Amino acid sequence: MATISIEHASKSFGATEVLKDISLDVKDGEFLVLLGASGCGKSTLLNIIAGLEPIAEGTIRLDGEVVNDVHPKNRDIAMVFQSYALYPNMTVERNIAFGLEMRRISKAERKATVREVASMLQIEHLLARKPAQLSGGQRQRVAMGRALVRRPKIFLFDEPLSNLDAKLRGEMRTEIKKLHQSLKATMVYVTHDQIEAMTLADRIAIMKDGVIQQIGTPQEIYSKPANMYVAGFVGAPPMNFVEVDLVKQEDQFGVILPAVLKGEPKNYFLPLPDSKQLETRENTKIILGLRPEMITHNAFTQSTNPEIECDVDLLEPTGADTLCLIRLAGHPAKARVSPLFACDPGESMTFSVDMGRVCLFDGETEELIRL
Amino acid sequence: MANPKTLPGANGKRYLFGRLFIWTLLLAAAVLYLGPIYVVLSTSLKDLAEIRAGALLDLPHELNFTAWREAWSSACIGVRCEGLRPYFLNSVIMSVPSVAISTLIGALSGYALSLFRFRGANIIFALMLFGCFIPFQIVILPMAQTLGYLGIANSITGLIVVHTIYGISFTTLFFRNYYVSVPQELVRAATMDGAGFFRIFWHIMLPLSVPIIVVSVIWQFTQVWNEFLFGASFTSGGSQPVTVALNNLINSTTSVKQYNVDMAAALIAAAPTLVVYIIAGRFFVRGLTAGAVKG
Repeated sequence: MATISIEHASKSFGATEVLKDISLDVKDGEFLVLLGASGCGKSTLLNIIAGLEPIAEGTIRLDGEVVNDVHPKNRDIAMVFQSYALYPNMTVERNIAFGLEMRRISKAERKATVREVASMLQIEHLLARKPAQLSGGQRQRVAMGRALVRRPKIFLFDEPLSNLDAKLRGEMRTEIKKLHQSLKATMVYVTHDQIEAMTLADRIAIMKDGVIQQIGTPQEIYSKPANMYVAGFVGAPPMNFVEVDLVKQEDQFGVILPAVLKGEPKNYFLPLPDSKQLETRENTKIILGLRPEMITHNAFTQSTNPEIECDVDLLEPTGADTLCLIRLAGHPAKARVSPLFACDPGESMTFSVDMGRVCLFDGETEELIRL
Repeated sequence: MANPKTLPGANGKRYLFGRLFIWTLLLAAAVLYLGPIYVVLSTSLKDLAEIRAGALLDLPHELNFTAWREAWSSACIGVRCEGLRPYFLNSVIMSVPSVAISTLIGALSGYALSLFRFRGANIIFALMLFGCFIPFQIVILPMAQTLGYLGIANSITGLIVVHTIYGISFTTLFFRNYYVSVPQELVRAATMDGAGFFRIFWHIMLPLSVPIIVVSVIWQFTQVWNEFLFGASFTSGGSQPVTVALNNLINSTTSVKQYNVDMAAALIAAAPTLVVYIIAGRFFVRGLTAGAVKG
């Protein structure tokens, strides 16, 4: 059992408030990802859980027990660092065993445990080497081994993959996920990479300026982002935002979407699902959030989806899909279509818009309007 | 690829003159530096008759080590005629502990100031740096009073204390600047592994510090061994270091000035610092320029 519970945590470095009233619960065996741009406070939050930074205000509990003043070594937590922080003067074997050595575990037992962990990570042949003689990926594995060997209740990862090349990052990501499944340990993972967050997390907490914007499963975060920041941060290419007027035509709420057809402006009325939420907002500006895959070619989609025809300025083929650059309300937007249906650049094409999945945001507060 | 011989400025008169100028300059500098050493060395190997005959720059007729033997074991310093040997030993007994202790303290304080940044660490470091700029002369009187109060005046122990204290400013500066380039994450990782302040220092930081330890040892050894003023002020008679004894040896010659013995004594007194530099010198340069710890 290992749960983490943080209540009203605040932290400042000098005059800058790094964390503002953070409350967060991590369930036993959960994989929580703290996601955010650099400087959002996610690493500080991780260091507070580890005990490397003292918490200024609020409480932090591990398994229900307040640990505000408990030293890191007594929290039964292991941490993997971005730079791996391997001890340069020690062999791989001693690097991994160091935590056990500090806890006065006998030499024979240390050796056996290190062998076990090394075989799990497939680094047995590296045990006699020094960190300087290892490649980036091997160092990463050793850093993981150092965390695993103590069998802690909680694992913390501080951007562990950001120093690896793209291919290795993908492989290690899979391994970390496998590791979580086999260990069933509680893990908190900090990253700025939304793909990592989406693929690894049971739940994601998105942070900005020391405030948690939203906590939810990857699917919730993706399909129901709490605000425009979250919507824009998660997803590649990012969600298209279009400022539109909310109107009522023939008892049906909808938005007026200004597009461009053959160089001429053309407005389309797109009906929205019925919702009481919209009553008070008639004739106000709202922001329509459309992910690129919500604007797609009309071949196989349901015929009930409204269609728009507009000019395609540019094509960006990615292999599996082709991104069409179009203009909505004067701003560039991206649509994702199958390469089979993509028109030539400069021509116009008919797209169907999946209005059942669009997000609406308040024009003032940028918060999601829940329908 | 361009042929380097056909590039502009690669040959011709200007190139030749440039080279000649550089070589002449280097030769002149070498003569200027090596000349006195040559004179001292050759004079120490001559006998008095040969010296009196003049010809300062001539090589000795034969290698004659009598002057060296005399300087080491029988020359008179004051009323004692035991040569430099007892004073040389004094200097060894004084230098080794002061170098070791000041290096160790410097390593510890540099480590605390750079990797365990506590409130006011920068102010403390600035104050310690200040110690590097305090001239010896200023502290002589208060230091003499302190040594008297502690009961270690006129003793080698007293000199060890003085040199250790004086050296801490420098060694702290060396180690602090070296440890600043050690990634903070290393300390954090060790903290998570359960190591405390001293165990991180002993198991991780000290093994990483070999280059800067060498720098600190060479620097401190040269300072302590060559130091004269403290030795002359705080000791007398049998507990004087070799630098003071050398001075007394040269000044206490009674009848004839024995230049060869004086020269040999000077070389004996200077030898240890030279030996230390020759053995560890390449680490010295490496330690001063390096700093980054490659993980």
